[in-house]
Amino acid sequence: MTQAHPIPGRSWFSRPAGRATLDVLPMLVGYAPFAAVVGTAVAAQQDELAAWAGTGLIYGGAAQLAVLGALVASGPGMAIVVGLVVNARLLVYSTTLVGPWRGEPWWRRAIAAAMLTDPLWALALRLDTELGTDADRRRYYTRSGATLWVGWVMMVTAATVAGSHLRGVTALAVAPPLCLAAMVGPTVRGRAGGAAAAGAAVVAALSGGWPSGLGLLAAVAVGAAAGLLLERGEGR
Amino acid sequence: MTGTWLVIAAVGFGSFALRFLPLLLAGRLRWPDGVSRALRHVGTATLVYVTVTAAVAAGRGGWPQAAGMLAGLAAAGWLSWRGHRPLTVVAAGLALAWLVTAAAA
Repeated sequence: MTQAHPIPGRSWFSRPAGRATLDVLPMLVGYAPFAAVVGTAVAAQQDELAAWAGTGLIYGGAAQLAVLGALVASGPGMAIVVGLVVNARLLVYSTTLVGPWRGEPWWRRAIAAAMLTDPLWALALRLDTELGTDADRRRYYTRSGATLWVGWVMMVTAATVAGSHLRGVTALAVAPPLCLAAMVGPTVRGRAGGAAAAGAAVVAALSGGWPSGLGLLAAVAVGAAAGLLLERGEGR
Repeated sequence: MTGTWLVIAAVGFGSFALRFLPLLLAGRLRWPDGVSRALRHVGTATLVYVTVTAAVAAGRGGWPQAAGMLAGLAAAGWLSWRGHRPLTVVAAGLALAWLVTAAAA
């Protein structure tokens, strides 16, 4: 984005809402491989329609993959726990976005909440310094969030339809962890973040024979403890 | 309603609640600093766990596949940490994984 305030008389695309769609389209292209991974996993489920419904309802590729995996390996109860643990970070994201939405009707805040995901949160953090008014930020957030939501659902749907053909491409078997690795990097900040990642990686490598949900919970506990301990040791 | 529908609905509603609660309370909800920091590490740990378990599953076809997966994952992780775009990360990781797998075969 190149300007903090819209210029009167310029085209629609120079106004914040108009730029929003153009700004997020490259993000969507970047998430296409991950959408293909999720769509392939959805197509492999017994109840394909229910699994597909999670694309818009859960609206988180990592959570959706974790839920579908835990459902097969550990049953419905653990799958619910796993899905909510994976998405627990959304609580922190949402807390940091309150500013522009204070005073808005509850239904507008609900729509804003429904669209919240990692890339939109990162984009919203930039808006604080790049857009002048709360109204501009809300319009930009709503337009970019809607574009991301519709684009993600469409990409996963296309991959679900093509799922049986994509599963036959064995060379793509390594794609899922690479797509996930692309999401990990931005979350590892500082030595504490590195400690959290390392702790979780060790548990993940050692918990191969554990029920899917137990391994995740252990990794989360160890990773969070490692990160907090390192922060405390650094005097934060 | 099948089990899958129940799970998807529960996780979907729960995820929406996680997103909506702070916005609904509009600043009246304040986390202790330790809780906020812990939740950030929870996000990192979760993504790392899901990534590593997926990599272990993908590398189960024997040594060439495991070597390729390790190399691709290391490259992807480094590029991602350095701030490169997801498409670049995945493309570079795939290319290295295939090269190492072919070389190790």
